[in-house]
Amino acid sequence: MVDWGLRSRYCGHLGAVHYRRILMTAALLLVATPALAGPLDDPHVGSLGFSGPTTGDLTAVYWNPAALGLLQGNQFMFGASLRATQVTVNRAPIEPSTGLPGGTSGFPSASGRGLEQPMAWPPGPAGFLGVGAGVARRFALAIATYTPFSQKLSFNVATPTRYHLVSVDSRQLALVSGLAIELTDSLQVGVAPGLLFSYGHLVFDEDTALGSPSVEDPNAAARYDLATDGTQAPSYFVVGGIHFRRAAWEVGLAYSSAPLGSDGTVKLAMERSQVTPPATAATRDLCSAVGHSPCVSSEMRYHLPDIFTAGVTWHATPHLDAVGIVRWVRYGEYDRITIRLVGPSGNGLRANGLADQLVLYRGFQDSWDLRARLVHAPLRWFRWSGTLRMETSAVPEANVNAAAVDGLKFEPALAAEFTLGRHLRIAAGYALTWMVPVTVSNSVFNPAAAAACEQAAYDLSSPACQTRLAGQALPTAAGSYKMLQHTLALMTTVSF
Amino acid sequence: MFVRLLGTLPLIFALAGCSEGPVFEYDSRPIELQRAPTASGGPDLGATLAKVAVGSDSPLLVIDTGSLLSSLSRGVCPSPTTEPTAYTGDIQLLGVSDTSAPLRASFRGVTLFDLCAGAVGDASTQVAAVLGGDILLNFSVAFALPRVPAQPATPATMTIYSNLPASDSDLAANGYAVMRFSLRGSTAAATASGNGLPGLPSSRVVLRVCANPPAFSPDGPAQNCKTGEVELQASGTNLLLALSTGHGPLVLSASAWQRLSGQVPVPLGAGEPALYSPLTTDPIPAHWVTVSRLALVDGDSGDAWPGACAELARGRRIEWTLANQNNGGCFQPCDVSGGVALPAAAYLEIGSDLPAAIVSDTSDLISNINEDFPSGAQVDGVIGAETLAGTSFEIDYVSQPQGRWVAACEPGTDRQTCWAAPRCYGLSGSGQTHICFGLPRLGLAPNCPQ
Repeated sequence: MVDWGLRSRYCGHLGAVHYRRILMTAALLLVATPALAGPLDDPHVGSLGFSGPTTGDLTAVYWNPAALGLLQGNQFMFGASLRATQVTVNRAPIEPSTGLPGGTSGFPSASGRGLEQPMAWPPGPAGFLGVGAGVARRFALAIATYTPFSQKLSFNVATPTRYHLVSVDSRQLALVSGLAIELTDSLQVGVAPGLLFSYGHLVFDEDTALGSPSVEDPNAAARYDLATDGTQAPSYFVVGGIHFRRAAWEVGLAYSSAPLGSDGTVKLAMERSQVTPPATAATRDLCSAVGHSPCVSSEMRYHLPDIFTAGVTWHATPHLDAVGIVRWVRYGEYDRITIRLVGPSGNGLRANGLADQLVLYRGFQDSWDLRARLVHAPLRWFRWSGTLRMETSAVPEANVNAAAVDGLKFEPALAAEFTLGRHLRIAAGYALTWMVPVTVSNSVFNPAAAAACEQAAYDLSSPACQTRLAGQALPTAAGSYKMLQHTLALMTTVSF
Repeated sequence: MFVRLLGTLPLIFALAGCSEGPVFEYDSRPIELQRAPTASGGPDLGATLAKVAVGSDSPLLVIDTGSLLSSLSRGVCPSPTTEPTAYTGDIQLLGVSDTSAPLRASFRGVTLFDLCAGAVGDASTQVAAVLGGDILLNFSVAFALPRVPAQPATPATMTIYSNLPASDSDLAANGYAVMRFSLRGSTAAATASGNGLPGLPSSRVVLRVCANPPAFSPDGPAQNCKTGEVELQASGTNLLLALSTGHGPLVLSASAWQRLSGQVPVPLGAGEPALYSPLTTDPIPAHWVTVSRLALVDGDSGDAWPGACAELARGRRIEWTLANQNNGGCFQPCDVSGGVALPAAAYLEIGSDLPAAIVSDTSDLISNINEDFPSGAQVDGVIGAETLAGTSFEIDYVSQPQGRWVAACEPGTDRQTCWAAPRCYGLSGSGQTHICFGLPRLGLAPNCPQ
């Protein structure tokens, strides 16, 4: 683990090399074509085909609070999505003696599935609930709840992906209040401070015999099943933005922060944690000695990204709008998950050869989410939209593993909205997300590093121990990865 | 382009606003330690030692939770009379193993004092550096101090963690004695001499201790205690002791020893080994004694707090009641408030015949640990690593609002040698159960008649 002491996240990299890296990154951002959105965030907060940074409805608390200024009268919105994810992992064969790819020991194909829907407790992802009002013509107020980040995926228990992921259910529920002020007839600003309630449940295995000849022996696998007890005490974040309109054009810019006051870190107390020692261990139940279960406490820490969003709407005709949206999701901060565990005294984790500090390498990179949209309103009570979205990978190819599957994605989406009477609008949409298959040939995960680090007496100056320190001394994740996602969304808007 | 420009802003602001600060690198795996002798000719159960990289050399470094500062000499040892200087430097901590000295933790850009630490334990154990509380307080630091130091399979270890996530109640349920502490010992920046010495943060862990309590067994007779007698029924001497892994034995001031034993110590240092402390330059004349047992007790110095010995006695009475509640055991009136039994404070009891060095009240060591106590409660001495042999403990410096000292005994240790009693939370209703003192899950015990 590297702690950067009193420095900020950015200042942490203040060595000469890191200065150069930051400057180079800044330069590249200025001159390079956007090349790189991601596996954690919900790209469809609010409705699937109509919301964006220039849209004057309650979803603006997420997309761009300034656009709340376009709100007329009072509004109530309720939306729900059904998002089904299917991931297929075909691991490359490994050399049985070393665990490195290129051998003869093959694996069956592993299939992971996840179904996200809001009707769950703690509150599920893919939902939106908001209420707001325009006040005195110059102000708009709103309060809303949604889930900006979530991940749900579950593999078969005996999956070949077990050392990276058996299952994950991670949700970040936002409760946000928004305020927009109309500065001039064409310019609005808005801010939406919010609370972020986190929930997590992560299951994976640890190969306790890593580096020994019995590579990836299921009998040597310890099971870590870590879960929060409901949602956690919230962290704080803020969304701010501006909205400008002139003639047939509207422009919206917004920034959504990572959790504030904690260096962007989410700290999850995993009160419902269980660690099952491997089948070969003398003790199979850590809790038997203390007479209660669960008997393991743990805390998980990770960073969430901040997000920059920009959108342009051109009202080409009274019935046709063209919309462009760009989101820059700064996933670069999401480099690892660190987990500290505390078991019973005496015959606890360490006494049974189990780790009480784990680093799960993620190694994400910033990603870009680009979408082009046409909105056509042929009738006064009906409009439809077509959106094509492209999202660059948040995970470099070498870092892809079952817990972090991502690649270049394309997503066509269709949506329609009906206006029923004077007060009610109902919108429905469907999107199909297809990820360009990713083949990992040079996985960053190196099982040999664990043994090499042990041989080096855990010398942190050795490359093997640096690999281990980064959380990369795990069974290889080489192989091919496919992902397909279906999203079905429904949104009801009541104006009164 | 605008978006890209916008994106660069945080980076530019970050660069503009950056200032130097420390960088820590560690892997949260146990770091093997060496032990200094407890005294000249004593067993290797003393101060906790590692090595430090100094050029191509790797001299010894003492890890001392009792030291407010960290030091590493930059060359020739300055004269003891010279006011020390401080600088920003690195401590590359090397583990101690038979075959190599692997880099096990790195503390870069930290404030170090240009001092030669001198000897710890005995005159021949010279250390070049001190890793003190000012650095350690950034972490939750775990120590395992086995009773038998020579066994290679179970060396003394230190493990550095970023935090200790479990709640007090979860730790108690898992068998840990949790003691809360407020850090002591801050010093203001010294600028009068022109040296610009930095101020030091409070980093000294001070615990409340009952010394020489009587032996106890839940199989023994009941201890009666009427309402208002909680302090009358206490046995032993209340002490305030600093935790210092840079020392071996228990160290007590002469006045504390007098309170404890009723004896005035013989002239200190007359034919007895001196105490070598990382907190002082010169060896300290000492009189060597044994203390039958110590109990480190969770509690504070609030007016309502009856003291360590009274809390210990209450904890033992409550344990006796729970162990014997099926045979008519009941809570004594002095342990009941509002009809409900009070919780039993956590404690760690260690015995027996613990070596202790008695030093003068005016010695540099006692003066040093009382520097931030101009008046009021005085620190009576230090608990060294030898005193804690056979225990493992974690100092959770980063817990808020108070730090936590979380302790357990070596597995298989008998009760008279080491006994960790987690806090026992009282029950308020007949439907409730709790697990305390290693006993099976129990329901509500009755209160004794007044």
